[in-house]
Amino acid sequence: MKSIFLKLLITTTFCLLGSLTWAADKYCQKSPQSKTYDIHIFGYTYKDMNAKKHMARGLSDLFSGIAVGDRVKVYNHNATGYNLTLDQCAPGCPETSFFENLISTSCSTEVAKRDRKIFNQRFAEAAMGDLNRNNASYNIFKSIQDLNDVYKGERTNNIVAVAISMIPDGINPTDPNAFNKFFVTNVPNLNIALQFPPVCTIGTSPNSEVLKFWREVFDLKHVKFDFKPCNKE
Amino acid sequence: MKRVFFLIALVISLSTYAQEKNNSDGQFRELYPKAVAGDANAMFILGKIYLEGTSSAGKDTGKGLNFIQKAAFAGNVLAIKYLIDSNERSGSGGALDLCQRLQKMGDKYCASKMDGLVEKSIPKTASASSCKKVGDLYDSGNQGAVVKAEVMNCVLQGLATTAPSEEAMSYLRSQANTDSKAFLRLMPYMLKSGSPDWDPLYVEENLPKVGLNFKDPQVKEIFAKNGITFEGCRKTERLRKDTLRQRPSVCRMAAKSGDEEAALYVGESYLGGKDYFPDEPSEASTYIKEVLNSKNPALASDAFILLLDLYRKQIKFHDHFALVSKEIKRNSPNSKAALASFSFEANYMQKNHPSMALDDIQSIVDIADVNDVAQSVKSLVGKTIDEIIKDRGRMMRAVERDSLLDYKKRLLTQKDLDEIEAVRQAAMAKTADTKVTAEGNLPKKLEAVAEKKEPTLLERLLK
Repeated sequence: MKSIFLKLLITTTFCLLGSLTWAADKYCQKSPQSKTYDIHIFGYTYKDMNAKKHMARGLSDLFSGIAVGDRVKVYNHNATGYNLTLDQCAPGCPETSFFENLISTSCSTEVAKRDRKIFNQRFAEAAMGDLNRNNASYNIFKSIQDLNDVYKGERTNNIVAVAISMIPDGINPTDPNAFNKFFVTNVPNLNIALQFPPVCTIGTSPNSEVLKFWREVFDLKHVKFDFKPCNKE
Repeated sequence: MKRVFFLIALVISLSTYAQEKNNSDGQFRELYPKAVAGDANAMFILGKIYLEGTSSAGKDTGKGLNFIQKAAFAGNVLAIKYLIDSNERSGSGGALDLCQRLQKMGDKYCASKMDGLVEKSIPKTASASSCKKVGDLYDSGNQGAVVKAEVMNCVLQGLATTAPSEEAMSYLRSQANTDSKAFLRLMPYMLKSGSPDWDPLYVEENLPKVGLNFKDPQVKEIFAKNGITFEGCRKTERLRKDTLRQRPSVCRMAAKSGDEEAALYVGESYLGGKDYFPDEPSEASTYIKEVLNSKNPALASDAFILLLDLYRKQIKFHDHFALVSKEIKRNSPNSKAALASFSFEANYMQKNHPSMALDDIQSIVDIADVNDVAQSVKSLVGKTIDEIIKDRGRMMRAVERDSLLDYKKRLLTQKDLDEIEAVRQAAMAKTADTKVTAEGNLPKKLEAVAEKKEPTLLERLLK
């Protein structure tokens, strides 16, 4: 009796996993209009509550711009590396005319709505999963290098969105002397090789000192990184 | 309220202190990208910040110097000057090249330093490259004493044509009158056999005048290279007109520089006035004494004998006796020669004992008692003792007299005693003869008695 139950359980699990995989791919569209989003989240670089909120708002804005059928890949970065926590196309039935809708049987609006709900939830979990909650220290240069290492200099047509504070650990972003000191003690010994695809940023500190600092660093390293926010065209 | 103000003031002063401590951070940050981009001025200032440790990066001499060197390489005048000063302080080379660079840029910072730098940087032995370097300096207007001297030296060695060789020699001679380094440079030309400027006598006369010593290592090195040795002295012809005065000079300089064979030869020559050395015993003594303590026993022994001869010749009793007694007492290899020469003391005492100190007399008598002293010398000393006692009489203490009489017994043989007795008898007879002349022919009788005297036991045994 037990073995029959176990067999049934395994079969059900495989069917469910198969249907989920199918569900993940079934909304993907191969039209030229559809986009792929690479969303990199460096949650551990946010220590300040306001900054965290700012980032959440930025992600929310980005999310609202994701169209049905767009592929979304969420990379959750942490101190040791990264996890691809979400790789799914945004659920929803493509817009069709009333008659097309009557004839077509491939997309059920009801099912799509339900899948969208699950998708939204999973995105939220992925986005907020690795926020810095215990004030752990971090190395901002390593974060930048990690982002670089995902692409290793390869070109991509994906929209690369990066949620990162860009504030060096322990630095008050409004204190120019703190940045001076950080620069003096870190930059001359900095050994990073960067070659990014074009990226836009989410939740990055808008402080002029932060921007100035990174402009200087990227100029030194001959890196194009223009801090374009993702929610602005 | 006052407390609040005090606290505010304290906080402000502390924060100012903290800012001052790292007050170069802002400057560092501003300059670093420029320095990396190749801005020489930024590199220099950044280098100084690293060297002085005024930024949060702390003191880092390696990085500091690296930036300053790069700045200097890029032509930053301040960086070049900084490195010149730094090299000068540490005594390392490189300052000269930097100064040359600075001069080419039209800067006169090194004008007063050039001579000192050349002195430190140019190798002792001139080479084609070092001559080219000083030649360039000279041509670019650096004509200070050192640079000029180096250039003239190069001309004389045929490594440069900056000036005619006659001018170079004349310049070197004029410098050599007061400057020991110039004199050292001049020496090889004056000592090289066959050279038109060959003049060892000039070197001998002037070397001490410029503060040099014949035993200075540099001087000895030049001597060795130019035949100022006993071998060189030996090879120089004695009778050639042009070497009559120069040859003794070669030999003397070799001797003064420590060549013992040369010293012995020079001493001997002065002693006898030979080989165109004047007869000057005092000069001879100076040279012979140099060899007296030679590690070469043969040379030391020769010197000893020569010195004894010299003292004998000069009748320097005290010097002679000091030398002789020292060698006899320590039973050195020279003691045989000393003993052989001891007759000088014995004869001297015989002739001069009235004017001699009793201590000297006793010392001579002590030595005369040594076994290896010839019996004839012992006898002479023993016979003199009687005269000394007779002469000094009651001025001598009983102990001294007894001691001398004891020595007399030890030194004289029976034959000596018999002779003394005979002389005494003869003297007595003479006195009696004088007395009896008035009384009759008694002296003749006494003579007969003396002639018929029985031989002593020792004489009989010897026969």
